[in-house]
Amino acid sequence: MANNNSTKVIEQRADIYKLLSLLFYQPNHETAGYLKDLKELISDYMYSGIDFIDKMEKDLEKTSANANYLLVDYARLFVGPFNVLAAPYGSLYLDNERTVMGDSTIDACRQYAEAGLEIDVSFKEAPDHIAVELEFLYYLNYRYLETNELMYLVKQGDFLHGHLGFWIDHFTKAVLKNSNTDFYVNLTVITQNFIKEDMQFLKEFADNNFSVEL
Amino acid sequence: MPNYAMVIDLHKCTGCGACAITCKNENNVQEGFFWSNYVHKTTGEFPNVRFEFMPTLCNHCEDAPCVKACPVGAMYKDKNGITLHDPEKCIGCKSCMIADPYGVIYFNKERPHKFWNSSENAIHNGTSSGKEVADKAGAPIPYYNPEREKTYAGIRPQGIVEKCTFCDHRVKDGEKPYCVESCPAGARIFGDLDDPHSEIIYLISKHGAKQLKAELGTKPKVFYIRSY
Amino acid sequence: MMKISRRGFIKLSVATGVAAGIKGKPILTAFAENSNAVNKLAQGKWKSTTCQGCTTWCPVQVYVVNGRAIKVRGNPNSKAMEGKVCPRAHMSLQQVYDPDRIKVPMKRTNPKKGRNEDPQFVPITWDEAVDTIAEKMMELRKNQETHKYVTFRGRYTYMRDIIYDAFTKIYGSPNGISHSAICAEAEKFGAYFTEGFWDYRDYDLLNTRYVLLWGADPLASNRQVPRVLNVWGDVLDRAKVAVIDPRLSATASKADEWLPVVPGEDGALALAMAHVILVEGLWSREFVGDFIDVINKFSPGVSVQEDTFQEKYTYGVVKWWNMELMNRTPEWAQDITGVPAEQIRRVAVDFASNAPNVISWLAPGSAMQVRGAYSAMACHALNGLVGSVDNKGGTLQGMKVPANSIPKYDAYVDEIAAKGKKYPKMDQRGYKEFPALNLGVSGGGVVTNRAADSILNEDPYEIKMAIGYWNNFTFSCTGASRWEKALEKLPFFAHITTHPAEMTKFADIVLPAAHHKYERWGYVKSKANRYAYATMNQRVIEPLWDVRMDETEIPWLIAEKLAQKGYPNLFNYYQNEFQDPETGKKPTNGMEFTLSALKMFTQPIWDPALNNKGDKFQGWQDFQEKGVWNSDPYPFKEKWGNFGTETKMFEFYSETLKHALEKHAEKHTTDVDDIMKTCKFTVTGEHSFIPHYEPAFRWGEENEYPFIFFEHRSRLNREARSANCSWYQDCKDVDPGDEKWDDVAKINPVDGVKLGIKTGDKIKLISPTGQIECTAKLWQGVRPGTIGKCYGQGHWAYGRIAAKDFQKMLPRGGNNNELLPADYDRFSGSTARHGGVTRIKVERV
Repeated sequence: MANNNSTKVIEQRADIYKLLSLLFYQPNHETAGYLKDLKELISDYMYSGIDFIDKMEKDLEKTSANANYLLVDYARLFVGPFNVLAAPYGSLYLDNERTVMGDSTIDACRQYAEAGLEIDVSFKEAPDHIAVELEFLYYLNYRYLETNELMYLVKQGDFLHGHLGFWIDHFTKAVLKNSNTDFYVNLTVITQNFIKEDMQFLKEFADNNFSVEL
Repeated sequence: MPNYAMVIDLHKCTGCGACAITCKNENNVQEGFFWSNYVHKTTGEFPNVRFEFMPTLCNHCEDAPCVKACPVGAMYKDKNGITLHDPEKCIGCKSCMIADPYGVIYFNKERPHKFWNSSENAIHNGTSSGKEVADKAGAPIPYYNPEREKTYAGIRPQGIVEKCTFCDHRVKDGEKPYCVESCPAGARIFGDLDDPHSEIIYLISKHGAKQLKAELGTKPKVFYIRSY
Repeated sequence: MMKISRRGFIKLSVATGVAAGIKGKPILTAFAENSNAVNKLAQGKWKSTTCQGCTTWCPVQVYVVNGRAIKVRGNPNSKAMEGKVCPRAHMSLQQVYDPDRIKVPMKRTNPKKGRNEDPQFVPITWDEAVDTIAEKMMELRKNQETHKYVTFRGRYTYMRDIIYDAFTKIYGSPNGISHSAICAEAEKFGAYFTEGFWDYRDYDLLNTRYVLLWGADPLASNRQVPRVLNVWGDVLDRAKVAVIDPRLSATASKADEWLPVVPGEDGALALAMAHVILVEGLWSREFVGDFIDVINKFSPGVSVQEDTFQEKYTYGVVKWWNMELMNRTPEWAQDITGVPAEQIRRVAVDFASNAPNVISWLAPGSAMQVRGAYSAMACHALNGLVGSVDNKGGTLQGMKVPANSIPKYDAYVDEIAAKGKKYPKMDQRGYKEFPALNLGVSGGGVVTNRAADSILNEDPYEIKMAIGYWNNFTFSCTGASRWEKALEKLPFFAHITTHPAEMTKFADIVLPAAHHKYERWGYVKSKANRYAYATMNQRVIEPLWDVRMDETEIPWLIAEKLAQKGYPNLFNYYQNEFQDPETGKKPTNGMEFTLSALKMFTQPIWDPALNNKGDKFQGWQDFQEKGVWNSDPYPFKEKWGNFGTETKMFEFYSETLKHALEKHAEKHTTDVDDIMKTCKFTVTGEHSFIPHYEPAFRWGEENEYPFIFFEHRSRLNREARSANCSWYQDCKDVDPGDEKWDDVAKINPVDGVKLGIKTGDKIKLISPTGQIECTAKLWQGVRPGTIGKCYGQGHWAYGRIAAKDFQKMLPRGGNNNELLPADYDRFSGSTARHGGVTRIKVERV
């Protein structure tokens, strides 16, 4: 069972996932606020996280002179519809045979549904968009805190292994290669690093807890 | 155990092709492959001309040459008398295709559904590509039927064969094969050949039936009654 | 772009933190919580909607799993189709998910228009697209030229009045121009001028004993395909079927009799059958009446005294005999029609002997001909002779579907608009040479295909701007190249379309349309199996692209822009007059507007307080789920003695037509004989008012163009919109004589030998007005001397499967409409695409 200490960590992880998710939406006037929140949280959790965010904040300031500065890069990288340079969808990176045989997006949706979620009708993007997968991890943490049921942490591990944790490296590579802004380069790197560390964390957390129970 | 078979009433058949199309739909069958197929012929001389149409599919023979020919047991008869194929065991040797007298087995020479994996588009920026639609819909083909996965590969990968399964994934849930369900003319009837009270037995005994290439001794389980 | 749009999102700050949400509800942006999500995922759901792949307009259901449309079936609640669909319905899955669909609004950047010009489309926002359109419209208003605007309508739902009528008129143009005359108006002519019914008929197939099909191929095409597919085995068990068609059609291939008529000579065949029925004494005594002395005096070549015959529910049978039928023997017809006299006699006798439970089924094949008006009357008149009109096992009219019409908009028409909409419509309807007698009124119907000439010749006036939706006139109209020229000339054209069609290539602005079956709201009315019905088009999946509904959302957006630019009337009309009938709420966006309008139109159906006929619903939600409303079954014989004709009787001598033609002649200060001549008919005087013989009219001289060309429909055509589906191409050979992935001209082997052409040869078909290339197919199912070809292939745009090379604009085969001349059945305004309207020659490529 989670003690107070671990509760705080889980809360932080939930927050970080949620904020990362929000940052993968089109930038808007609230972006600065999200960054500020993230900066607070990440320092406890991730080495050199603050440096990354500094660079992002600096880059974000450029939008005061040119409102479209980030939007242009965002569109080039993630939206298209014209030649998406770093498609933010899982199914694109998951290996061909797997896509054909298993259908990764359907699998993601199945996992969402098993956790009691469906894609909101007003949401217009693909269900394996990075923002969706990050929000899913936020939600699993939320459920864990609410119920204290360990399965919600196990689900996180499963999901990361089968989906986001699997394709984030390819995605990061594509962003690093094509991005013109510090903002998206650093956002992606933070996301990648965080996910990698979190997968490790989940593994240890689960091992410890299971051994206690056993 | 039932011994599944099909009756095709050629008098009712209108040659519309719904069976061929809906089979592709149900089983995620790619372009150029026809688990459910048809043959047609035009005979005679104007104005005394006849056009005949005959739907075809795997005959699920009781004595199936494709099963005998398979060296690894990938092609097999299940307990319900259906001829099935195990993609895990299949080594793509095509022995079954050579043995099959009906030409109903297809080999995936290339990666299937090329169209939905292609990134080409018609109008740059204005229309999308097969890949983009499939991704956006969240499936390997946008109208992909996940129910096919219950008993068989949802889409059969490169290097192995594939064929009609009498829609075993539907039959096991008490549904009819999709070609039967979607035939608008009600020309296809599915049932148990070993059940003397089944509709197919009634129809076969009432009208008499013919089987394709019965002389080969394969004991096909698709029976044709009446004429087109 | 993906925006955070969820309402009620709590702004984050360091103080609260996202985790603050943990104490209450989770803050979700992309997701919604649903404890039942797993079940939804696994089960999928059959959702009701409507298939408009052809004009059958079937109530259907779509199986939706996880937001994806996977399968289609007939709506089990439909009494007309009894839960069946034809092969077309399934193919629509490949339409809605076609990668070649337009996914964003586009504008052309190459100002030069032409078939070989790349428009160089670039994506733009909806706002820019709509702004550009509204700007052009305001320009015309400023110059008091609103009448120079046209709305070109193609296929439609009954939401049409919002764009076709109100939008066009309140803006200030008379020019709502529909596609109807390229569809099938000519066959309505036959029913109208005999029984006073301007519509398609229904047929009582359950009880029929003989089906005589005139250029009809109901197993393959219009207008109740699933119904016919479903019962045909039983029909064949109970009834005889005879098919009159120059081609061995799908239906002919299963028929008892095939009468391969020389294209365009259907009328002669019908007249000879009428002759036989009278001579053999097989007419209906109950319906037509009898000689007073009960002795049959109809004897070949002998006229009969009118007062010796007492008619009951018909008018002019003896006149018809005396003026026309007495010499129309099967032997006379044999040479003209190419059908042996013996067969004509046999079919006529069989047909009439089984009367009155018989059907003389008239379809476009025998009616959409240059002189098809009288063939249409003759074919339908057989039903009158044998009393199968409005009778058990016969041909029927339809039950009424209770629905509201569009609210009155007169108060919103300002001075400029009022002036603009007073101009005559631009399609030349009602001109001396285009009577277009819809409901008997001169200029009462559309002359769709003439609109191209109107634009080209600025007759009656110049056209400066058009919006087209769900249409593709550059492909679907005969004399297609005229449309290419016309659209080159048209200064501004906006196309609302799902696909980059041929017509789209000429557009200045392209707007991506919602697919009718999966992505839109609307409703349509139709009938079959004695039931009229209303079936809803519903949004059963969320569109993958940013598409809008053609008939409602787009006019709303344009109305908004017009209001911003200083003309608020249209927007005010939409907002004030389309309040939600349940909540009274005014619409605030295009979607709310659409749903309000749909609820209003269909309220007499779903509102239990208003509906007292046919199916009953608990309310809007209930109707939506069931998807279809069925009428009570159509009663027999109630029209007898109360037909919509001048005489209230079934007219063999059409007082109704006489009245209509005299009015038209009067309008042009001339006489009916002059009108007949102007409209390419050969008779004068009283003959003009009865079904009479007119020799087939053809373009081209026989010595230069030795073959008669005729075309037909595919059982897989979704009105020429399905050629971009691989299932279409994979199964194209379900059309007898056709080949997969190809477009073949079917030539009798006898002619093949003469020409030195064999199956698979690439050939060129040349008519006096155009030429196309395709593949030769030697086939016994066509008459020597004729060449038949299916319509639907030959796209040079539309998509990468439909066209052989989309980028190079190379067609897969050839479009018949580039070969066919633009000619008309002028009395109905209908395009004359059938009846061997042109002769052709054949060359090897």
